[in-house]
Amino acid sequence: MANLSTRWLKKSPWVYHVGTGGCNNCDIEILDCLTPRFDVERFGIKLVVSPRHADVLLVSGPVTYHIKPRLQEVYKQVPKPCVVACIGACACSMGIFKDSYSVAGPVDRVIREIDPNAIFVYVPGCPPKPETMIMALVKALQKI
Amino acid sequence: MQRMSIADFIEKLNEKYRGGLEVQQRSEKRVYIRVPRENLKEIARIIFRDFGAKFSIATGIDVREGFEVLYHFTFDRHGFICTVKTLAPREDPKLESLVEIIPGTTWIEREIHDILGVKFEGHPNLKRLVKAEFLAEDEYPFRKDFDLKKFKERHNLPIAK
Repeated sequence: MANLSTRWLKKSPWVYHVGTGGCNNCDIEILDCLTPRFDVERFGIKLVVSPRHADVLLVSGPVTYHIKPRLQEVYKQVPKPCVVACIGACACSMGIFKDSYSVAGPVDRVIREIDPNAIFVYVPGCPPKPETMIMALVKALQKI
Repeated sequence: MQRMSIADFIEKLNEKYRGGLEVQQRSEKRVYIRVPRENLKEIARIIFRDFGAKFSIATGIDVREGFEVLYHFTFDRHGFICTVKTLAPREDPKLESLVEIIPGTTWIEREIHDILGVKFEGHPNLKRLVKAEFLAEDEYPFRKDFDLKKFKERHNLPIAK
């Protein structure tokens, strides 16, 4: 972990968390990243309160029809270049909500409607481990 | 305060409510009471006001005879849950709203009306709550006869393979 911060993590990614209709399981794991055990703030990863301050958009949950325009609106407000991190199986591929009457699609499909060149990181799992999420963010930063 | 067992509770309930109860006890902590829909309000008033039970949540199910709505009441001090079951027939899915007695049922009745199509009479604000905007007023996704394929064709939605 010490290597990560010095070798790869040149910037401090600020993340904004959007819940798009998930079951709160992934949200709890995202919060777990901020607790002393993992403490992502030591890498400079910080949860911010406005999408306009964010470098990374954390999205958890399949995108329902209600939240779809809101998610696109939030994505438009994030300064580019930015990374969209799809946290959990539902955000990556709709998971068990495939064929649901209320789900518009996975996160990448919804965001590519407005920005075909968006950068995505997929963190599958139900829920993914905090270590996985930290690793995903580190890999994403190499891409920017 | 002394703990009340389910048997005591049923006995006391029978004293207050004269309609005759169909009681089904599944375990020491769970009891189900089936009431006709005309008497739902009365029994809710007795359980909520007189016994001081907490309203936990309501559930709506599509069963063979119609739509069953279950109101779950918890007795925190006595350690059991009492569920009041009532049935709205399929041809005429109407129930009396409990909002006057229990304000906490407002949203859950709205949601059941939204996705199961049970009409709650006397509800102050039976507007759409969770259903997406493009669904028609009479499309109820939680009904058994809801056909996903036809629904997706009707609204031009992609059908996953």
